[in-house]
Amino acid sequence: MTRFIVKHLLKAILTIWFIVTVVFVITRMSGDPTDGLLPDDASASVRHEMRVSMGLDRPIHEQYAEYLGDVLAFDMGDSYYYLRPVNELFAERAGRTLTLGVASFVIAIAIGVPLGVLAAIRRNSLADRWMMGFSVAADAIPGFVLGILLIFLFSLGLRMLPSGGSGTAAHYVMPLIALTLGSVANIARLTRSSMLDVLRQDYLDSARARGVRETAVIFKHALRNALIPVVTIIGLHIGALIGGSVVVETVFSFSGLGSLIVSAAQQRDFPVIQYGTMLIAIAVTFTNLLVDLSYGWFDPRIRKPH
Amino acid sequence: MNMLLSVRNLKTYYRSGSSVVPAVDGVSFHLRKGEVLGIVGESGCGKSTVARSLINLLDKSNARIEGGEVLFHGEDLMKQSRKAWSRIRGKKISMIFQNPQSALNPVYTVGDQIAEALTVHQKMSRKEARDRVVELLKLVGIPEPESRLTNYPHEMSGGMQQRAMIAIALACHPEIVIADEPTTALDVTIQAQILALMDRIRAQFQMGMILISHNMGIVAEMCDRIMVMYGGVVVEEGETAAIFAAPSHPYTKGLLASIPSLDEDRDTLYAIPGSVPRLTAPVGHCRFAGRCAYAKSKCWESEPPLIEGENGHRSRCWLMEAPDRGHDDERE
Repeated sequence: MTRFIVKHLLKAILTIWFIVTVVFVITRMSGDPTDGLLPDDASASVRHEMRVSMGLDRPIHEQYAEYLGDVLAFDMGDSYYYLRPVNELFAERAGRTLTLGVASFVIAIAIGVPLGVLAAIRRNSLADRWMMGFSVAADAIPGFVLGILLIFLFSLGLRMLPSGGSGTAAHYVMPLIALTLGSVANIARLTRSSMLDVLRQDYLDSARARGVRETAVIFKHALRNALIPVVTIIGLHIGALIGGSVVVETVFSFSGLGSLIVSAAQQRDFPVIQYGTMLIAIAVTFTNLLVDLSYGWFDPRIRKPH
Repeated sequence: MNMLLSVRNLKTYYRSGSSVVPAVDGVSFHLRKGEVLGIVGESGCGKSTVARSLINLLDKSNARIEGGEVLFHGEDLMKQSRKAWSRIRGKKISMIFQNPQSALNPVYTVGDQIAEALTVHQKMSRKEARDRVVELLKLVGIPEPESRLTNYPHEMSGGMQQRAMIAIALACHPEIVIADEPTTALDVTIQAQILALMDRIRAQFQMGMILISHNMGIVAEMCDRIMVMYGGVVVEEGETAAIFAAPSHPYTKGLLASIPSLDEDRDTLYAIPGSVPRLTAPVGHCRFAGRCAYAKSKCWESEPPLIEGENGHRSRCWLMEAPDRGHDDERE
C-alpha cells in the first residue's frame, strides 16, 4: 500500500511539473503583457523598462529557472495587474469557489446515484424513460448556455434570483445548477447502465435465495458492485467541474478563482495564470489519486489480488 | 408418508416477443422428508425453471407462473407474499447454484456472506454469528476456518467456493435444498468430493433434496427417485433402480444409452439424434416424437398422458398403453 501511494505521488508530481512547464512556455509565447498594462501611446523605452522590471527581457530558460526556484520556495510572485502577491488574491476568493465546487460534487453524487439506481430498478417504465430522456438533454447542454437560460428564467422573468455577483446564498443557486445539472445526468446514466449489468448477476439471486430482502439485495449487494465503474467517472468529473466553474463563474460574474483566472488570461497576467493552472493541476491529480485509492475499498479484487 | 413438498400441475411460461414458450408445462411431483429427487434432462428441458419456480426466483420480466400449486406444509407457496418469501428462502427452502464463482458476491468476504444467511433469519451477536460461521466452515470441510472467514471469493478455489455456498444454503438447516447442477462448473476430481459432502450433510440433518443435473451418473448415485423431463413436461418418473433397470420412455432409454461404459469398447458415443425442439404453447403431440425411433402417427395426433405403471413408475408414452405390442420386450 505504501509503495502504491509513493509510486502514485511521484507520478502526480511529474504530471504537475509537466503542466506547469507547458503553461509557462505557452504564456511567454502568447504575447506581451505590457500591451494591456500601458496605454497604447506609451513609448518603446517605457515598455522596455516595464519588461525589465518583470524580468521578461531575459532569455526564457533563465526566466524558467528562476520561476521553478520561486515555486519551490513557495513564492508565487505578484500579479501584474493587481500588484499584489498572487497567493493573497487566491486566498480571498478560494472559499467561494471551493464551496461551489464541493457543493456541486456532493449534489451530483447524492442525486445522480439514487436516480440511476431507481431508473435501473424500474427499467423501461415511464419514469425511467423520462429520466433518461431528460438526462440526455441535461448532459448535452453546455454550462454557459444553461447559465444564460437560467438568468432569463429566474432573474429577468421571475425576478427570484440575482443574475450575477457573489456574497449571499442566493448568489450560489444558479451557478450551482448550471455547474451540476450535467454531472447529475451523466452520473445517473452511468449508474443506471452499471446497475443494469449488476442486476443480472447470479449473486443477487443467491442473496435472495438465502432470505435477504429486496431492499438489501439492491442497496447492499448490487449497489457496491455497480459503483465500481461509477467511481472512475466521478474522478473525471472533478476535472470537468474545475473547467466548468471557470465558465460558470464568468457567466454569473461570480467572484471566485475561475473568473480570476479567465480575466488573468485576457490580461496576460502571467503569475496569476501560472498559479491558477498549477492549483488546478494539483487538484485534479490528487483527486485522481484518491479515486485510485478508493477502488481498493470498493473492489477487494484490486486491494487483494489473488 | 411424510410429504414435504407436493407440486401439482405447475406451469411456468416464458414470453419472448409475441411467442409463448412453455418452459414448464404441467409438472407434478412430490418430495418426502429426507428424500433425494433427481430431475434430469437436456439443457432447455425446463429443469432449472422448475427449481426457480419453487423458490420464487424467476426473472419476472419475462417468466410467469401460469398455473398450478406447490404445497409445502399444506400451504401453497405460489400464493405467498414477498415478505413471507424472505422468511421461507434460506430458512425452509434453500438453493445451491451451478456456478459458485458467480453466485458469491465478489465485494464481500465469504464469512460475511455465510453470516448473512444466519442473521437475516435470527437475531444474534457478531460473536455468535462468527462462531456459527466457523462451525459451518468446519462442517463443509474448509480447512483453517478462522482464517478463511476473511477471504474474498476470488481468493478461493472453485471447490472451496462451492463448499462455502453449501454452508450458506445449510446455515439455517432448511427442510428442502434445491441443488441446480451443483458440480457442473467444477473439476471432475472435485465433483465427487462435493457430492459426497452434500449427501453426508443432507443425511445428517434429514433434509429433502432436489438435485438437478444432466449427468445420469451423478443422479444414479445420489437420488432415491428420478424424474426425467423433456420439453417442459415429465416424461418418466420412478425409483432410481427401476429407471436404470427398466427405462420405459424412449427418451430415457436414449439418455441411458448415451452414458459411456467402461465394459464396452466403442469408438463413438451413442447420441440421441436431433436436438431439443423449440416448442410454443399449446403443444398437441408427443414432444419427443420428432426424435423418437418408435414414433407412430398417434404420437403426432395427441399428447400422451403420464401413464402409471408398477410402484408409482410413470411414463408419458403411447407405447406404454400396449406393452404387448412388442417393441419393448426386453423390459422386465
